[in-house]
Amino acid sequence: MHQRLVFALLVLGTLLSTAHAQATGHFRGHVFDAGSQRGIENLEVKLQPPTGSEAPVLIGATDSNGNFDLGDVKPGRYLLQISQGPYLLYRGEVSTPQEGVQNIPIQRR
Amino acid sequence: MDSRLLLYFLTALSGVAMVVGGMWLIYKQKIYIDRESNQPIEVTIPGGLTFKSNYPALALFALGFFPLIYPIHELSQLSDYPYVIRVKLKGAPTTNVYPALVYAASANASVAQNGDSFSVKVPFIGKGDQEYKVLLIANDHVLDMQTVSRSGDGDITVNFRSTIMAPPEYQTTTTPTPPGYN
Repeated sequence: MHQRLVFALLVLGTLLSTAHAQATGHFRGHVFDAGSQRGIENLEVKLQPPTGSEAPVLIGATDSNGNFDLGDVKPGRYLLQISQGPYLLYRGEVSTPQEGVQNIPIQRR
Repeated sequence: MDSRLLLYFLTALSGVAMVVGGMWLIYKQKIYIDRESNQPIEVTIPGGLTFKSNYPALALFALGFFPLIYPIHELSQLSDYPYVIRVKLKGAPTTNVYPALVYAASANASVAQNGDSFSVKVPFIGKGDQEYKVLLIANDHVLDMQTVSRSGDGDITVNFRSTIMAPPEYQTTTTPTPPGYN
């Protein structure tokens, strides 16, 4: 009887943790130079939920290969903005969960 | 209704009452006659000043002019002093970046290109000696911040420091923010 109870609690805990894991996910992207196809590093990446949403604003940066990975992203629509200091390079609406990696080409001036 | 208007109306009403009351007293010749001499009472105060008994009516008449004229004079300037009610903005931001500052702005102006001037109307706070923090912001980045206060009766000129950013390596976008986001 005692073993059954422990087993049931384990199953319940596993199900709850799985449900929580599915509630949030990652948003991954690759920002690259449209001409040379090389990734651009040190760009600010901002994932902004719609007005009134309780989802947090997520901010990250691209790595040396132009990749970024934002965690704890709740499913839904977001405004993705890529900036270099005060200069806004990209603005577009995205949906999560995503399939694959968001590729964002940026034109050199 | 602006409570200051109510005060002005009360002041004007008291002025009207004093002027009309003074006129009425003069019209009715409400002067006090000394029974013995059958002449208006005269009162002499230290300093040699002599008042006749109908002077209070005249004084009432004269005193009424100030509370009557003052609101009329001030009402024309009321628009320069907006009625400010202070409210508290409360909240508890959740972030992992501290220290963070919270600013509240009721107005902004955009500057499209170099050399463009701006003009932002702000509430006249306190006696005009309180400070305003003025931020120059581009794409959510604070380029400069100035603290200014009203030095005279005129407007406040904000002298931002010159901000020279290296030009962007990549093309910037002017895509507007889609509806539903702010």
